Amino acid sequence: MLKPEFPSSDAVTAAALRPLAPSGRRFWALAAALAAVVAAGGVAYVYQLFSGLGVAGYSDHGFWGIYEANLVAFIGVSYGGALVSAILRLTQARWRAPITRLSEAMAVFSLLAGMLFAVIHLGRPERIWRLVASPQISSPLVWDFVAVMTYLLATVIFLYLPLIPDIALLRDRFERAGGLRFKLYRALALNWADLPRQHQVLHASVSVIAVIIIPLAVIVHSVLSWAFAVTGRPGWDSTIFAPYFVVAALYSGVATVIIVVAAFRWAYRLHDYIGLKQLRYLGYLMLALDLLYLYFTFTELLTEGYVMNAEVVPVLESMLVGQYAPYFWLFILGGGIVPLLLVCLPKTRGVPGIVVAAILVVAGMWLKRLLIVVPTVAHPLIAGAWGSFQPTWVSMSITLGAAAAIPLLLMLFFKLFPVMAIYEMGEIAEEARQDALRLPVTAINQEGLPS
Amino acid sequence: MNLKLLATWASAALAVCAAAASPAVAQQATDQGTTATTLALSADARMDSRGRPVPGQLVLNATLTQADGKPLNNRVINFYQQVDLLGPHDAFVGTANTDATGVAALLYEAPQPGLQQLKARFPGAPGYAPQEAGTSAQLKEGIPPFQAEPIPLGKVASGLSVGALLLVSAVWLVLLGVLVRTVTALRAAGAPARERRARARSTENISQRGGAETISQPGGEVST
Repeated sequence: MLKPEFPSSDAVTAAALRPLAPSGRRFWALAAALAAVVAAGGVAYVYQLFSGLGVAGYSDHGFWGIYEANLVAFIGVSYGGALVSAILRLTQARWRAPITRLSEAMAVFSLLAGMLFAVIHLGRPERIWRLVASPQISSPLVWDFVAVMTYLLATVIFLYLPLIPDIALLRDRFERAGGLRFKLYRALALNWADLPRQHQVLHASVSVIAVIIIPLAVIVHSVLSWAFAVTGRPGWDSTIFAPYFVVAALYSGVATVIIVVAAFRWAYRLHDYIGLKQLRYLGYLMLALDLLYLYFTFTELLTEGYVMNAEVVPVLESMLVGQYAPYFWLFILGGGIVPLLLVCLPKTRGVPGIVVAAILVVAGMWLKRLLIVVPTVAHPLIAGAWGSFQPTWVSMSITLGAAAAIPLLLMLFFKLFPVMAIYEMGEIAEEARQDALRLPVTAINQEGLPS
Repeated sequence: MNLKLLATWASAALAVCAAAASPAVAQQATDQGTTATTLALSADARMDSRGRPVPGQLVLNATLTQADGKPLNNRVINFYQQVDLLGPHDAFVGTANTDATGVAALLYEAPQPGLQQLKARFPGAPGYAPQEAGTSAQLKEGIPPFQAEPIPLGKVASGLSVGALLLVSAVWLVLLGVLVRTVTALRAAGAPARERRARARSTENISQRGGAETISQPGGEVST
């Protein structure tokens, strides 16, 4: 007997293809608004390119700032998205199926947005070529570049492979209509004909990539943290930085997945497929990571604060009781404690409460990345050279532009591809049917999976 | 004395040769209203703990006294080296204060071997006239060129880079390998089915076209 949580394949297909239908005014208005924010960011970047990084608030006394925080935050979100999907796949969590596509796509687009900030930070962007042409292999920045490019390749493959059966479905639907869209689907569908051999190959490949992407994401975000930690600057020179960054990435990544899933659920009326169950499970995951991140923050501050090395004192003071204290305590409260309570308390553990918690986490974690970068930069080892970083309209416009690019790209992507993994949902529904009939699942695999 | 010492250590690639010993070009200040001073400068080879001269290093001793020979304590003496850079110039070397015996000592490290033209200058003080003295020293060797100390665990660090490069290459190979293998296998497995489907579609189209032609026959006649 079919469980209510696994609806018929026709219903799933219809729901997953809803974004492909001609869109209404609200869709295009939102797309236009997001495109306008992206364009404003582009204009600000061109202005910065001609005027220098000074217009973004950068100076000799504040040479790293908002762009580095964005780089870490956006790429971190991407890792979170990919890891959620990979872990749920490998653990065979059945509830994952409606949300994996969204988290995988979010991983790719937030990674692209994050990578932009490596270029935006350069006053002379054409010099990025030198990382390839004449790399200094002892520099963590070179390895950062290598790691992020490797991770980009992995996330694109991880998004593409599970899409193939769904693309084949679209290819068949658009066959009569023809045109560019059909040609695109035909090329990407790779002769998919729903054959047992194809299922076997695809399963094996997706599993391999899912296995690779987990250590890869951990290593890549660790390398990103070492770009800070190995500089020997107070506040950055910490042995805990790599796991601290990885947990931060997962924490903000899971929160972003919640926001994206909830937004598409609401916009395309996917309530029957993405229920409270999915959001609540993601909320629990976020809760665990919240506690872990608060623990790491406490551990780092305790060890640094107890030893009180002379060069660390000004950084700690400025963050805990000084210039940056309001932002730090805002992060602790808004990005740590309030989300924790919202998910913990049964009364607020509904969809709105979980989504609000996720929004607070994303905002709080962005603030925390800024607090990692700025106080340390503002307090170099030479006391007389202390300075500060103040964001300007240019850096804020570029930041908002990149942030707006992620939902815009997601909206446009899902105008072309199904928003939910139809094939996987069908597969899982079939498994559930077989479980209900008490038939061994292996029997299905030998016979070939259902279409 | 210095020449004697140099001769003793010449066989051990000695640094200092020469006239460093020549004490003092001293001058008398004669201005009205100020006390005259004398300044003497000597350049002696610096000795290591075993009494051997250190290559390229000289100790400059400037002795500042009043005309009556009484030493002047705690007065600033500036030291210069004469260099030829677009003409002769005095390049500032360093500064030292005189002690109770009127001596200001400064360690001088010569970057280049050869004749070193050195000067000491007392800029003057309230009641004391400025003064200057010079000397020269012939050095066979300059200070040894700077050599960076080996990086701690340097071999491990370079090995780490090679290891990381191998790891990254392996990951890229696996990722691209999985992609290529999947694309190839899926295309190959699906090709016959796609061909069958295409043939079926084509047959269907032909029959549809045939049907259309039949319908379009004038007079409603059925054609074959």
